[in-house]
Amino acid sequence: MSLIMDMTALRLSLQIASVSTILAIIVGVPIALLLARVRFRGRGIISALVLVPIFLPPSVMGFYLLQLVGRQSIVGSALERVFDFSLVFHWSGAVLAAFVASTPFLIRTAQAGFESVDLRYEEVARTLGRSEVAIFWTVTMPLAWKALLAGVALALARAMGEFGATLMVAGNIPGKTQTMSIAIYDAVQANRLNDAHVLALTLALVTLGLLVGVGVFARGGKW
Amino acid sequence: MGAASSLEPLLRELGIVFEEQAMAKVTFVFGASGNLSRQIEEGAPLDVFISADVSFIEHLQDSGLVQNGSSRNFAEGQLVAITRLLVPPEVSWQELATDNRVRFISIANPEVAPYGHQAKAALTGAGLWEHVEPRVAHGQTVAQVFQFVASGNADVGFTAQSLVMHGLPSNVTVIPVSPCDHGGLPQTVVGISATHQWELTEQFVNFIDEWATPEVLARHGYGMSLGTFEDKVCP
Repeated sequence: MSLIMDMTALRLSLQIASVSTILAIIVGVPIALLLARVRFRGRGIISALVLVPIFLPPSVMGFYLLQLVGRQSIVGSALERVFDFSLVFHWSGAVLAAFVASTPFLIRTAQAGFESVDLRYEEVARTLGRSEVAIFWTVTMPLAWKALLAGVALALARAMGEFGATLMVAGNIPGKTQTMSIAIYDAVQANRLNDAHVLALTLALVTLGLLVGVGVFARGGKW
Repeated sequence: MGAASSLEPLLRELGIVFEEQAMAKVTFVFGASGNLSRQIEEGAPLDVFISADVSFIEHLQDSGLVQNGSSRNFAEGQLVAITRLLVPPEVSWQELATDNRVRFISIANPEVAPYGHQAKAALTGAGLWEHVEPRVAHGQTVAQVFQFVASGNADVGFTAQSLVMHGLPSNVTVIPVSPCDHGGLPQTVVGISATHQWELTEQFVNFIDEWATPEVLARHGYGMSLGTFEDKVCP
């Protein structure tokens, strides 16, 4: 494997993990808030269902994702007919896999963060005539902020390491869908152990760097 | 005995017959040939290794881990192209690979899977690799390639005949790829030199060679061993 290929795999991993984490924030935070704040029947069941991607083996999850968005599925065939686009064997399929695998970590952590915010603060703001949106941004968010970032860090780390589901949905196409995790697996399979060590070390260092960055950001720039 | 997963149905049947004849208990460990060969190097307690890829056997021979003279090519793997596209019955795999309805062609990872390696060799030999490469999606194994095609995600796949012998969906067409197009897929058995069961190992290696008649092999999707491929005359 050439160094250029390694760099492509790293770029793909970063690209896929970033997009997946942004999607995880957009989708996960409202769900976490809903689960933490709104009392509704079946809340416990939804809370548990959110964790399915954590306990289901990734390759099994990948298999079902493939059934769900594959080219013969309702979603997949519509995408292909209308946009001539396929999630399968495409980096966006890897984003989907990483998103599904990592969002539960964000939801659970953010939910705990929102639940730990003392409701009296929000009520005080309400009696002062603040709108719900303003309360969320000026009271809830600043208090739940650290838990939320911890959730983001977990989701990002999980997305960087995602392997099983990605392999099923996006395949293993060097330069197109071959992420670092898959490149490492390939190198081990092909007995290129030195390549595997270099790739694993790179993945570990880059991801550690990202996580330290998130931590520094959470502490307002302090190491 | 460590054996390539692709050989499982054939070896399960053989195992039962051998157990009766030799009055011995056989335990198979199925896995990727490359993984098994690495485990043998690390001292895995295997008496026999049955590989779908002769290069791993050669590697173990070079490391002195194989009993001298115990190596037998007992069968020839059959590479096939499969598709869910509607194709005329006499279509060749070359025509199929260049069919303009094809969006994705799946082959097993050529770096590690013998059937994937030979599929790439066939496509390269036919001068089609450059054309198909942008459409290639690797499966980790031939079984995954089969899944990709059966589920309609890949339009064409190159897999092992042994996987399409049973339970083939009716909308999947199988087109054989001649060994002359890729250079053959010898299935090889060897005794491991670290064994404590010398006699039994020898007995098994000879047994598999005798038992693997053309009829038995054909039933499982394999051909008769072509021996050393260079001796074989291809048109």
